Amino acid sequence: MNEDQKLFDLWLGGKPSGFSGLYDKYKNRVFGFLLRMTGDREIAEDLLQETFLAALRNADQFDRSRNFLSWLFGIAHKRTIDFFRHAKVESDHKEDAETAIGSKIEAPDQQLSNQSLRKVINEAVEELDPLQREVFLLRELGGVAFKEIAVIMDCPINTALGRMRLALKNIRKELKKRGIDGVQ
Amino acid sequence: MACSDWEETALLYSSGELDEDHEVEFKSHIAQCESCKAFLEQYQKDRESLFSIEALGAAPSEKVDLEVKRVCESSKKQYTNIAVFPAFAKKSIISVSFFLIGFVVIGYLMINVQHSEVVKAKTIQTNDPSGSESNQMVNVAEILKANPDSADSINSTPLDSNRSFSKNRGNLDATGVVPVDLITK
Repeated sequence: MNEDQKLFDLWLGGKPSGFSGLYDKYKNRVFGFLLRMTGDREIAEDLLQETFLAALRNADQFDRSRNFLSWLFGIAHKRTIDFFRHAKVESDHKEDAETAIGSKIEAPDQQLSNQSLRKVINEAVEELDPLQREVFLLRELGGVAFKEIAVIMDCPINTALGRMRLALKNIRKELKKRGIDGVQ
Repeated sequence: MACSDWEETALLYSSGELDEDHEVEFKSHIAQCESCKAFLEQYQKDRESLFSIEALGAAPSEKVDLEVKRVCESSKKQYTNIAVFPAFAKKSIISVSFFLIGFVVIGYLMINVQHSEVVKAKTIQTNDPSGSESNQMVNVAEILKANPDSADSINSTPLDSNRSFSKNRGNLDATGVVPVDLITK
């Protein structure tokens, strides 16, 4: 049994340390994903709460052979889809994201060693097509395997791989535009 | 296979999802193809330096941290005790309820049937105190033997009149009589 599953069992057993352990370990990844998908900090914070609550509600559906983080990102993906479906803002998504992300992700972060690089990367990620962005974030933030990304996004694995390849090319293109041509 | 396909294979290789045979095939390809080799190396460098959790992740506010922890921790009993087996609990409750309702209904019907049998028996005894039902049957047979045309009169034997009376019990206005079972005790 790996560390995540131990924490998960503690959480289900009613020990607060189980939840705190998992939450503290993964909140930044899940929140980063939600923030970049929704483009709004407040909405992302609501969805973060919903994601962890949904994980708790559906704890009996968690397959122990799976990776906990992949499962959590699958829930976060569903929360995001539900949000766009209910709010009917899908068409305005990109426009909203451009204004929201630009102003809100730039908030100072004490732990960041290279703020400008982070800003450039985030801008490049924001320029991506939403589907490419989602595959990229699931893989890089969630560490979700492509096989599982295909299941989460309900598409063939080759489609997921194609989106990732295009995402990487587009990020590279944006970085070049901003004067970063390969980091050694 | 085109280089774009090999690049997708490179992604699978990086995520450790390539099986052994394809891995050997892929390695032999990048040994010969500079473009695919460069793609793989660049991706691996980017993952280490640019696509870090610190760069891509984001921290929720402290207020939200506290709120999420409060909500999730206060919900744990509710969900662990009930929702871990919600379907099981729901089905069990429904099954037990149906069983109990069925048990009560069947029991009630059985008591009523038993009671009506007792009432019938008492009614027969009251209207023919001289003999049992078997005696009445003998009497009917004798009447038929003596006068075969009087088969219709069987309907008016004490036994059947008791039965029709019993059927009409409860319709006091129509018959103008008092139900036998109410006065025979």
